[in-house]
Amino acid sequence: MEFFSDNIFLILIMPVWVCFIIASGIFLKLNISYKVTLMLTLLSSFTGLIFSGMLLKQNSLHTEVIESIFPWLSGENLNIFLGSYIDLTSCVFLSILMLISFIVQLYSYGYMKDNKDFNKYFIYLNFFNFAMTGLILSPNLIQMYIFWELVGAASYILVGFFHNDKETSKAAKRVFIINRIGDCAFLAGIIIFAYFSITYIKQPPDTFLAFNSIEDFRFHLLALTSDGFYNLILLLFIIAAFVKSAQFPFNVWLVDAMKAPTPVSALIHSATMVCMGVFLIIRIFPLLNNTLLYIILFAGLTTAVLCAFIACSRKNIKKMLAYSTSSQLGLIFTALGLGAIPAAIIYLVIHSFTKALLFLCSGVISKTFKTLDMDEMHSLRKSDFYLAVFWIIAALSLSGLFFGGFTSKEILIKTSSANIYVLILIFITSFMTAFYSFKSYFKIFEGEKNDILPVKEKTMLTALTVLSVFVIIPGLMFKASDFDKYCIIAVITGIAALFAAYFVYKNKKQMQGFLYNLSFNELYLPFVYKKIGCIFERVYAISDFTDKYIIDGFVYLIVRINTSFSKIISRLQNGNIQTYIAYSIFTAGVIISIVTLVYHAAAYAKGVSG
Amino acid sequence: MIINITLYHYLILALILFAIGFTGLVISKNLIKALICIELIMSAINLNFIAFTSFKNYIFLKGMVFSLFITAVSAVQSAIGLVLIYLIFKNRKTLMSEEIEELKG
Amino acid sequence: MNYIIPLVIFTPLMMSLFIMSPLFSDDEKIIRRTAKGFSIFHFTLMILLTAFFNFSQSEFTMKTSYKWIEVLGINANFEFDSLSLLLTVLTSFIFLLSVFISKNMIKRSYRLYYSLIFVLQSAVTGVFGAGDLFLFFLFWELELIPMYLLLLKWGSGNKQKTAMKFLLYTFFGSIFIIAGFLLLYYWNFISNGILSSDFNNINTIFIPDGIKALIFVLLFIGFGIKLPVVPLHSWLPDVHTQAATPVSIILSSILLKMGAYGIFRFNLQMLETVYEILAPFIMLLAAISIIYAGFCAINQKDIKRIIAYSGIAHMGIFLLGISSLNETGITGGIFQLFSHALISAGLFTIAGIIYVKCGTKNLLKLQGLGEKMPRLMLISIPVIFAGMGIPLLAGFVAEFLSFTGAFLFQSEGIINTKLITLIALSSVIFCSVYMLKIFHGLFFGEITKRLNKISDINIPQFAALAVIALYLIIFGIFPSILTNTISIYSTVTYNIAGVF
Repeated sequence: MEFFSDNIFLILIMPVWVCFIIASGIFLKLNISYKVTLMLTLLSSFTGLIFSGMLLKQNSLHTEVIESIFPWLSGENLNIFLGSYIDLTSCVFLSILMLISFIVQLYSYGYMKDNKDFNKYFIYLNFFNFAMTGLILSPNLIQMYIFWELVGAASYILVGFFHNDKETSKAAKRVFIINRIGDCAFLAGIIIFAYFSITYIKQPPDTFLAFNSIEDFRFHLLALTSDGFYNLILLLFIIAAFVKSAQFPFNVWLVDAMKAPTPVSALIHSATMVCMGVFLIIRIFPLLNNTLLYIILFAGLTTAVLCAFIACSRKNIKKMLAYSTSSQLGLIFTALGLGAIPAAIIYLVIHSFTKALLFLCSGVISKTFKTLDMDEMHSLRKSDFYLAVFWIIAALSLSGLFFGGFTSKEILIKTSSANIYVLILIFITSFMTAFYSFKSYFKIFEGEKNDILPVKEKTMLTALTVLSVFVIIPGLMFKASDFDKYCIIAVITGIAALFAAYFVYKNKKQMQGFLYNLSFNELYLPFVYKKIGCIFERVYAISDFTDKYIIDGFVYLIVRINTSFSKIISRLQNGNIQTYIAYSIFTAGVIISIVTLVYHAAAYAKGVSG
Repeated sequence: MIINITLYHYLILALILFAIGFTGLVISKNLIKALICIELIMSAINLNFIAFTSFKNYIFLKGMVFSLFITAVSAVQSAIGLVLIYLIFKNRKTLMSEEIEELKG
Repeated sequence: MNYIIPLVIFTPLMMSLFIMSPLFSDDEKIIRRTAKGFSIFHFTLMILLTAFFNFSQSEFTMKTSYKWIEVLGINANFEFDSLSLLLTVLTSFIFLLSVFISKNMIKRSYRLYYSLIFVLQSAVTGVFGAGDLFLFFLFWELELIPMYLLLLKWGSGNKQKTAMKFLLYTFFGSIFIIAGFLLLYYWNFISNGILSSDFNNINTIFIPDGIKALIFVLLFIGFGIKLPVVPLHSWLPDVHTQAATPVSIILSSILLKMGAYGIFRFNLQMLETVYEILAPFIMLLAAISIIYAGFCAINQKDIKRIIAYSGIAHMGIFLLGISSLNETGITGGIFQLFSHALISAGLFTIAGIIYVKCGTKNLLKLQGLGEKMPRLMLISIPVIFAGMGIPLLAGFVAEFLSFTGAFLFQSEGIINTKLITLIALSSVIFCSVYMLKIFHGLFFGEITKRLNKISDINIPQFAALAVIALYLIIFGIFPSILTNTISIYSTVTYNIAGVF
């Protein structure tokens, strides 16, 4: 059915229409009912869901369709078109986006019902939908960059949604600026690619920096530059991907982004936006050589281990989940670094569902306990059994013991079974993942007292149920014949972590020691970042000082010189006429003598020569 | 010694007189002294003109007439100068030129 | 049709004389309404002119000429080509905007104010429409006096010192410009034997290389004081901080573009061969401008000063773009002129509204206004994002084209322009730091008790900002509207015979 791929721009435009309708409603002061807003938004997500489902069905044959819809900018050198690129990867990502978007929007109704800024929230959600759709459907690097930045802007607006709080506003600023660092690297990479494309490669008009012809770049670039430069140029794109997916040196923004409302965290910061780094790497995968793949592998593993380590000691649920997201994305990058794209995508899909489920549960928990600090939570299972079930499902899936996570973990382990060091680190990460998942379960849901009032909100529960179905189903797709010794080791690791968590919970020991301090203080990374920030502030102050006192001072210096010079000269005017007479007669005498001398000298010279 | 008095002697005398008058004009703190020095300058100029007239071999009436003019002008000028100085004295109560510096700066 | 050009240039002057004359009423309402009506009329005139214009050529396509000083060969030539016309439309629009905004912000001596504004409009339109060296210089000097008086009478803070600084600094630049013009005029006489200062005759002049380089440097310094290039920029922050808001808007949106227009017309189009040699140095200066102004902006506490420094940085991007001497960069640079004009107009309007309502411009004392002014916060989001270079808004197109064009420049000397461009690209990060500083400092956080009684902006103010935001979005999504008319300027249009 060509209809779906031809009219894909419909799902791009629909969220924008909904935005406009809600915005004009707010502006004209018509009180649009919350249900109407929800219905409109769900309509656009549902359309998107249908489209992406149909495309996925069509695309099982790995066909690619590129359409250039809109000539954005053309000139002598550049010819940039905006359009759509539909292949298997983009269909998969689009489906995840639409599905999780739909569920989160349904959930948001229940979560934000009492907030007076409900309509504004949905405007921002729709805008985010639009930007993400554009990003996933990009056929070339430039459209990807455009929507990359728009997604960053949408994430910033949503993180800063509760803008009355000072901490939230500082967090939103940090989120945006660190994302900007990645964008800067991305833009630099695009400009360098554009340079090579325009000067040397001369692609046909419709395909400026397009993805389906990106293999040509590798060949031509390697011929034109040295290996080192090639790696540097592609490192720019890799840095951009790392910043977006919150990998190791840049993972601080994800923790700050947790100041957003919980549905936003579920949508953006666990399931869709942070996967865009992975998406970028998949799109430029034909260009990566072994060195770069090794860098990705190394960075991914480091992030996985370190972030899981830090997550073990978090007291705030959402911050723990943020570090968990970084860690799992690290595992996905590991898979990419080993070259196993299908394994990475499967892990990504299942992780999105699992993490979204965890975040949505934590939203309900935060509404129940009115706080996000796990130390103040206890015995929720007795009041809200279903929530406990959902959390257990998600925890089992995240630690790779059962349901969907089991399938994806086994596939990951199978692809990395060649390299023993990678395998060991993956096992360590799995252990820590299981540890914090179950520790949080025990902390929140187990206990003796029975005095918690559960929050029963129909939409939220529906959303959670649907999502958990999607977490459970992939678990049934595991083929028993793939079971081998590494899987057993993985399962044993998970169960050991479960027992360790139970042990820690039961003994209620306050964990101490060097490792705990390291983890608790987030490896002292925020301290390092603060120091770097102070250095930059020094630089800004120095340039401001230079501007005010040195450059401006130079101008005032000239004025001063002028003024003092004129003061010196004006001392000639001392008000005494006699001195004026003396000056004038003296000057007259000097002039007369000079003129006479010159006249006589000239006459003498003339007389001599003539 | 018998020295022939030539034109130059008169001119040098006039120059000396002029110089004395000019110096006095510029240096003197008292305005009346300056006025007297202006008179000296005028008479030096007069001497100059008369010297030139008398050392000519032909009757050069223009020089004599001009020196008469200068004498007349000098007389008028000293009259006006005195009046001005009197008015300055009435206004300022001082005749020291150092203390009259309205045009300073 | 060509006689419209002097009409467009001189009607504001006549209007200003009319306002100042005793025939005109003294009532505030009538004065304001007449001024607004005239601005709308002028803008409509410009739009009509655009409809009849032939945008497809890069030479001057609309010309009128009047005899002026015949003896010296100086005629009053008025000429428009695509760039001049677009800049004049922009001028008209920005003056319209500031006349409408002046309602709340100028509270005394309205007659003098509006007449000075119209004299300024006349002068600036004349600069863009002049086709003769000395006519250009006449209008260039003409804008100094109304600007000085506007700064002096309606400014805040230490206005005498700042106004004098502006006047003397800019006038100092004009000395260099007139020196360059006189040299051009003189060499025209020597090489062609006729006295003429017409723009169109300049491509027939033969000038030896050293003198050409000297003229280039003189003109560059003169115009570089106006478009601030970094060592020569120190008049700008003080002037912007202490001027009244409509005056700040006009200054940053239009007067800086006069310097840019001068550099484009004279240094780039007429003295191109020198530009090709000196382009790496100019790119270095531009990159220093961008980064240094960005750093200075982050350290400021006064909203208008931050916006002033951001203006210097954006003009640095313009200079970087056109120094690339290829079509992409030049298109990007000229696009930047328009996008920056709109962005800084929007930003100064916001700052002005806040100043009128809250009585302060100091970010340390203002916070949390998002609660009380949600409409202002909503409409300032596109302006702030455009300033940062978010795509689908006009700022991104300009920056992307400029940086790409600058990177495409092949430099043979010791200065590695590609490295400079990549370093200047980090302005993307610093720009967002100070733009967010403005946005957060104004709207985020908890509102202080002192500001609790502030009311939201009314519909006319919202409409002004909404128009700017609308243009930014339109030019961001459909940049071809503008780039199709600009990109006819490829590198070689005016070339002085006598190559290096």
